[in-house]
Amino acid sequence: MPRVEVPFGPYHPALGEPEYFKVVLEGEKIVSVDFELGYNYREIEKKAAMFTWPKALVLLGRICGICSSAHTQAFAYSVEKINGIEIPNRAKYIRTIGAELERLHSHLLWFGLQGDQAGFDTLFMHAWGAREHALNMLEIMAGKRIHYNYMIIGGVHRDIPPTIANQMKKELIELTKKYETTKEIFLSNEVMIDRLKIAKLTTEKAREFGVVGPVARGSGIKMDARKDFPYSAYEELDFKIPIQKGGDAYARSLVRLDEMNESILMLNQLLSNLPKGKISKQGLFLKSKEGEKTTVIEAPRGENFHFVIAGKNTPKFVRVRPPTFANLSAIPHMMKGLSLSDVPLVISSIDPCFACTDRVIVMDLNSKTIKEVEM
Amino acid sequence: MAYELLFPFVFEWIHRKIHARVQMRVGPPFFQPLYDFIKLLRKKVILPEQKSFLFCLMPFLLFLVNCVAVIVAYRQIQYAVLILLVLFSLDVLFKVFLANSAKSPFTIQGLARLGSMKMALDPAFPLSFLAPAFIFGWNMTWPIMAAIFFPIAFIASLAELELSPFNIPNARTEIAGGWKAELSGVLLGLVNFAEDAKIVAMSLLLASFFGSQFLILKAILVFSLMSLISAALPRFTVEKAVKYLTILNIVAMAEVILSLSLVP
Repeated sequence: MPRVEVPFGPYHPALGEPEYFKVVLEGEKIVSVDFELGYNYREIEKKAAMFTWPKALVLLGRICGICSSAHTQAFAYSVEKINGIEIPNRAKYIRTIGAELERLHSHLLWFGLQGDQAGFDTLFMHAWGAREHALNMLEIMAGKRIHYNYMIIGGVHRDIPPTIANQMKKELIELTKKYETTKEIFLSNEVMIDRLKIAKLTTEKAREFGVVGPVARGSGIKMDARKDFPYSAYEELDFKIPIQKGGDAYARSLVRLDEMNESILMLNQLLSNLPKGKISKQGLFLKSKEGEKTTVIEAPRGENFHFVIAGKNTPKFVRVRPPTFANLSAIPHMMKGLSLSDVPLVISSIDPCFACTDRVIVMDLNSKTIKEVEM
Repeated sequence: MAYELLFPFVFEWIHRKIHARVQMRVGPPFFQPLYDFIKLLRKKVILPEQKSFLFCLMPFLLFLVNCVAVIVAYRQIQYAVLILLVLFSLDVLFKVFLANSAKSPFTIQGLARLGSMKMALDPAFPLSFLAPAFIFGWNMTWPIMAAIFFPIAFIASLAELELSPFNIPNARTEIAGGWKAELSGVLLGLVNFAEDAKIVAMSLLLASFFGSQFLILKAILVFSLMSLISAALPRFTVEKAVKYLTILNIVAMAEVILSLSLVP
């Protein structure tokens, strides 16, 4: 049978962001898959090293509209570790609220997209309807729905007084209702579930590819930075890490669904038990010590790793390893032997964020140096 | 005046409105499909590099064939069932020419899917209309007894119209619209209208299973049911669709043999 090369990207209706997947087909069956990164490079790491700390923090939030809080949190914690700053307990709680709201709206966004990619627009609309409430909560809390820039080095810059907390609780009740409806639509649809029983990744293979986040947890690996390296208020919270052993796209979906449930429970705890006190340690953070630190944060898509080297009063080097970069390597393995109809579902099963992923690094093997380049 | 040629806009509006209500949205205003059609007529046409002249011709033929189908079905002219089946086959043939003349990987993939779907659908779709025609006559004036053939004809029509869950040949998120991928401007407008017109003709034909009175109202009800089903189900994979359609074929053949053997 003749082989046909179907370009899946850089611009394709199934991909929200530009990325190129080269899918070679024999009839409908996938013979090989290759992907190319680099359509989204925006020099963020290089620019961050040219800015002051507060400006760099804002810039890091712009890496991704959906993981904005995860990136700013990871960067802020790295800088705080370098300078030995312990943030107030209330700020920790507010950061956790932001992070869990982000997880909710990211997972609901993915949930809708997965429906859309299976040609199930009803699920898409219901999931995004529920997501509106998560975005409303972020707007109440931070003033913005996306790129909610509520964090500063040493704490947060917007408090959650009781009136705001009450408004957020009301929105959370609405969100919970719509989440339950969406979950019911998904779990009662046998056709949808049947379509997702693909792209199996065994525990061994998952370890081999080094996948992270819900993809790893869907393959039975118990890993979550919130429990493994506790930060913010996670030590004081009562929550479970959902694990599924199926390893297929359906198992990953169930992990994310359970995570949303846990996030709702966590938000209820957080909003009811906000500790009293200050929300930040200091004003504008301009002077810093020299040093280097790494931080791991559990972003909605998995482990988000930041490495920061501080120069005198400015950042010297910033490196970001977002979760999608770790998960992408498993895609060609997962797609082997499947049909073209499954490609969008396999890609969406890792919940990719290409804007987060695209980094450029040049390794000079002769001088054994690594440098960032301008494109 | 062939005022029935405005029905495709109404049916398109019903389809969008039902989808919107199921999805907790408001949905478009009544004249939106008409505005969309006019907008597409005025837009610039972008042609693929490796096209043949058929690429520009086929949308016009598709438009023509389906307009004729609507008139034939609505006016219930003599031998309407036979003429409609021929027109629906022509529609598929023109789609094949259109996809082949664009020569893009997406249209070729759409063409392959269109082929496998039509192959899988072949006995069930024509048989479910031919059997009542053999028994009750070739005009669309069947008694209510013909309704026993309705369920099979309904599912086969859903696949023939490429509505979800059978919207495989023009899957947007998989093959960027399949056989429709390279269309733009007036060509896309004509093809969209042709698809809506086919929906009207098919709904009228399906409605005639329940007697020939108030045909258009029954057609709207039948199509509303189709829209509801398509809003409630995700797209099948090609393998699954072919598997289900094979079962449909077997049931259709059994039903036809049984019904024909009972008729004196």
